[in-house]
Amino acid sequence: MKIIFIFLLSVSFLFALDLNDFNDRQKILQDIKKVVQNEESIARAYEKYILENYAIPANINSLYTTNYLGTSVNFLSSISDFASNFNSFSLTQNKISYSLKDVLENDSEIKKLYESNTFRKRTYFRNDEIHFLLEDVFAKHLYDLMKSSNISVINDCPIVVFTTPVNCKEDNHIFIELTKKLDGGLVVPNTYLMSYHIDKFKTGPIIITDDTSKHITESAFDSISKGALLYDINGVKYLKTLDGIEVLK
Amino acid sequence: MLGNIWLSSALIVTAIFSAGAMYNSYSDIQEAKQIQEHYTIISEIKTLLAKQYNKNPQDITRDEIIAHLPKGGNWEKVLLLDRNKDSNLSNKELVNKDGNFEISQDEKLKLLALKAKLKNITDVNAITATNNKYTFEVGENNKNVVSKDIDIEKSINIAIHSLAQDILYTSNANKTTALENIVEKFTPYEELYFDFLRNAETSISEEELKNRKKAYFKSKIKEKLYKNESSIETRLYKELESLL
Repeated sequence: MKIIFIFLLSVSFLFALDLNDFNDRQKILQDIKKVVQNEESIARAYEKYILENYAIPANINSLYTTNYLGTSVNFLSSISDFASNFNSFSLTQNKISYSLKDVLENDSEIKKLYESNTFRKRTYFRNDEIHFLLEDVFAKHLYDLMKSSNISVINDCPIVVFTTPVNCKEDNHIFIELTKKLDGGLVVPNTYLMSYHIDKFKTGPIIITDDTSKHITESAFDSISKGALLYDINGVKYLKTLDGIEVLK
Repeated sequence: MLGNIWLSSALIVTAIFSAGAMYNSYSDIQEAKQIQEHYTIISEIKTLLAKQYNKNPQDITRDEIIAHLPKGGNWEKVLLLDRNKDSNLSNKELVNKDGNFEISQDEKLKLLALKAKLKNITDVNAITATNNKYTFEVGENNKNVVSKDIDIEKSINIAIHSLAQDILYTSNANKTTALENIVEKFTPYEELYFDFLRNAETSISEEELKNRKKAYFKSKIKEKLYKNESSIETRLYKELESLL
């Protein structure tokens, strides 16, 4: 037992990192570059996931699939000694956990390089975490819609009658606070704050409720960009301005 | 007979000393050439990295250079003062952590060689020793490769993203505190290179300069939010209009 312990101890010393040694340091620095590149890949996959699923990925396993990052084994295979020097990627909302283990974090130059923007385009370091920057405007819109409604997915609208308002999608349209009713044997939209085609989310036309008091009180309208063209369900035309929703005469 | 032996011995000793002296001179010339070559190599790598990552060459660190070098091929020798086996980055560094050349004033030949190399690039007489070491900036003539606008734009995007997290998606957020913290952290002080002097002013304190840079950065955030390019920016503008 003692001999095995001494043997293991010797082996661990033999393979211990010497960050003053050029080869060891180069290996680690190139690993750090790859880890940052992987973090960038996660950020891109995160955005793609939002656009394709109208949902925020629940955790990193949602992205370890063929459509996104591939298997975790393949994703990490280019990094020479991931388990010893780096923490597993952990995804929470639009950020991932800090990757450096203490053995690397204790080297101030290595820590500085990892936290810098040198190898980063879609990610940045803040408060001991790596945050993602969304680039696609529609992805930003969906993310904001889900976060502000406190949901993690925009589901298809129910095809039955329902009276509790939901945010949902149907026929390439997004509905905010939709309810449905039965009309002539068909289930049809009853009330909603607004509805728009997914290609027209920014400029309109956006169909809004004719209850003008809600134009002022409902925060959902704050998301509409200035200049967007709006119609209420009776065909009255409005324009979104910095001051709010203005009726066009 | 004795005279011949004495003469032969004297000739052999002279030949040995001459060979030794010649070898030393050859070594010195090689070392001098190497240090000049190393400067050229590091300078070229810095230029490459400066373009690739949009950084000022002086801001490129030794670790960024090492990460860029190919594996194998004894590239580490370019970063070290000599080619001895036991030399490493801690005991024989030529390129210091900041990516500049650092040479002890005892290394007279290397200093001379480097000064000769740099005499047309910089005022070598102005470089003085600190703690018995001379530091030479590498890549000074490549300053203008950086586009500062890209960095400023990136800082604005990061600040807006952070503001969204701290104000839009945090319940009971203190907007003023969140804004001040984020502006303090993400204002690109180095990239905002103008003097920020107002009418009749000839100088301002460091503190005032920093405040004016932060105020300028805030105005750039407001400009970007005003464009309403996404629903996040539209909502943030409404929240922060009076504070920006």
